[in-house]
Amino acid sequence: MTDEQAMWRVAMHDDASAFARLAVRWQPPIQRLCLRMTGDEQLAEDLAQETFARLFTHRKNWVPTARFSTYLWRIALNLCRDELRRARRKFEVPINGESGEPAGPQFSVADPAPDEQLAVAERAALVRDALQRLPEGHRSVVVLKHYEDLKFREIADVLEIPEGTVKSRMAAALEQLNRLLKPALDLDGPQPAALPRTPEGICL
Amino acid sequence: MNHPNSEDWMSYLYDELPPERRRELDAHAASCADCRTQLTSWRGAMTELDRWAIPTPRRAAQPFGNYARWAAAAVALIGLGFGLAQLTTLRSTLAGVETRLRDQLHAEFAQLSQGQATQNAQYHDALVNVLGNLEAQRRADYARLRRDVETVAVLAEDGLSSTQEQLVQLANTPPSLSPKRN
Repeated sequence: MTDEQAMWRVAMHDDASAFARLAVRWQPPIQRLCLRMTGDEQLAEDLAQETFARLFTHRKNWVPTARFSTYLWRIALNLCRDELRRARRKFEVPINGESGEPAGPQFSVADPAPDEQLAVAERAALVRDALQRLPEGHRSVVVLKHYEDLKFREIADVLEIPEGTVKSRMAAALEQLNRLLKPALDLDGPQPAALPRTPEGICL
Repeated sequence: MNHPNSEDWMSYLYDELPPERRRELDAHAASCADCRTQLTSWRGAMTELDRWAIPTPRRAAQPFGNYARWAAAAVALIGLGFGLAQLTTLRSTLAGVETRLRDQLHAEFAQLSQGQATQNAQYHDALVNVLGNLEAQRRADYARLRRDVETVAVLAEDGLSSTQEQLVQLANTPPSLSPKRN
């Protein structure tokens, strides 16, 4: 059964097993997306749950001609966007592990020595923080393309922008990441934590 | 020299170009130092992005046997009575989804109930209205029928009186003589 067929059964017949099938299939990528977008593990879990809750309560809005994945990515991204706006209003953007969740356990390593594991985790934290400093529109593109491996055409559908804009945002985001990370990776340069924080991201 | 634009290079870096176009960009990169520098910069950022690895969420790492529990939980979410108490590995996620769904379904139900109450009141009003109209119609029909019956009665009485008078006249009329026979 395809995702679209399963969603059709959920929408038309409130089919619980079809909903479970979709949840099993899509919960991990949706939670990853929310984590990349917010940088906060607990918040990402909440947003993923909310995504599926919203999917179910709005099941009648599902249009069978649309791709299920596009519909679901869009719900999740909208929730992330709303959450980031709320956090921005409260000046509570979770950066640098401020959510209370230690950064270390989020990162996977095969079986390295403790000091190596720490270095890997610190490097990952730098990337995570740099990603959070991107404008939300650029970050969405990076997450969907680089991490979730969507085609540029699919990202354009999800974000409802032209494909060319998606690609130019991707290029700009990569350049901006280089600029953000370079001082941190330069042993003589300042650490990124010393950079001024701009919760809404830095515009190019 | 005409340089490919950044959009072309993004498709190139993420391997979304047709082979022929890809070969063209390969050739260009081989001959253009500026573009090579730019490509190296972009690739560096891509490598850095790869450093933020997120382990597959523990929920996804569970064997597919948990599908049945997901299904049971989903059934519970839409009110078919399965409990979440037996869930072990997916409990937190499912509990969160359950809470949200329950709240939203309660809200939907309350809204539906309110809508139903309003609809019932409207039905009631409409029913009262229809019954009132029917009663008025019945009264009008009754009045008309009564008028008709009274008219018939009066006409019948007149006819009876007329007949009676004719009978009396007939009775008082002397019998006529028999016709003469020649």
